[in-house]
Amino acid sequence: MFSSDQTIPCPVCNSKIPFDTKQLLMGIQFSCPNCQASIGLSQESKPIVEETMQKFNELKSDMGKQKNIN
Amino acid sequence: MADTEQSNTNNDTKSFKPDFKSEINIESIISAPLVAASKANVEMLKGQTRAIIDNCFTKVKRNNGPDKQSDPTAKNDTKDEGDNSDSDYIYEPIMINLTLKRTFLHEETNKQGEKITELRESGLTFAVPVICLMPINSLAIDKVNVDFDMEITSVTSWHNEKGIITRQAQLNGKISNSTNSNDNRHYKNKSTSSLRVNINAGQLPLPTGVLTILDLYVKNIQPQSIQPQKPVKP
Ligand SMILES: [Zn+2]
Repeated sequence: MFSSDQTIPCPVCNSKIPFDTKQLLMGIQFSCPNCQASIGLSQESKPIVEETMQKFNELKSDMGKQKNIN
Repeated sequence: MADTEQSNTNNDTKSFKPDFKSEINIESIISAPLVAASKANVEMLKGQTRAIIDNCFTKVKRNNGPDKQSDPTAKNDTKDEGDNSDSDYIYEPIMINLTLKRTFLHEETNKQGEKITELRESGLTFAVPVICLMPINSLAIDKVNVDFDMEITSVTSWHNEKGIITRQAQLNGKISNSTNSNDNRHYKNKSTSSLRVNINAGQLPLPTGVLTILDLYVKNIQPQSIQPQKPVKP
């Protein structure tokens, strides 16, 4: 359920900005390869993203257990 | 695989205990693990869909009435719906804010008429649905290896007048003990029959529905020019 090649379109030039949600949560900014605009996660949204990520991680580990049972 | 059948908690579930020592047709031996794998896939997909709906969306009243949940972090509670049907609700994406920073060269002329160029930074905050940040991918069983040794005990064959193939046959037999030389130590003197099922889960493409939702959101991040409002004349 997890992919590593995430991108978001640059709001300025529409190029694809590669990013990683875990690193966004650590406060790292990701630059657009075309226009050098950089995106980061705003401080007030950090708890929501953190919580949602955690829920998905729990699901991922649950699915791992299910896989082992089968 | 018989375990999978029995673990189902539905009230109308019938348990199936195949007797591998008696004669059984080859189709049943192969299809039982495949059906179980397919059921497991459905369960995993259901779990993924539920997780996406529960964690990335808020269930709100369609008419924006007083029942609307104003807290964007509030999770869905499908149990407490009262008389309201599902069509009274819509799922709104939970939004988060991203910041965008950009440096640009700013030129201005000072009072002395000299051109001054300096580096300035501009920033803006834009909202995107939290689903856009979630590294979602579909994990499902993509390979099932069914490995067994079969002792053919009978072959049933019959004429099929209607089909293209006029003569059909079915193999019946018993699953015998493993005769694999590498496993001799394990299966020596073992009276149980062996049917080995090996399952591999891999990443599959996302379902079209999820891709469509993501595509819609991504398209909405694209810049749009807004016409400045004309000043109202007094
Ligand atoms: Zn850009």
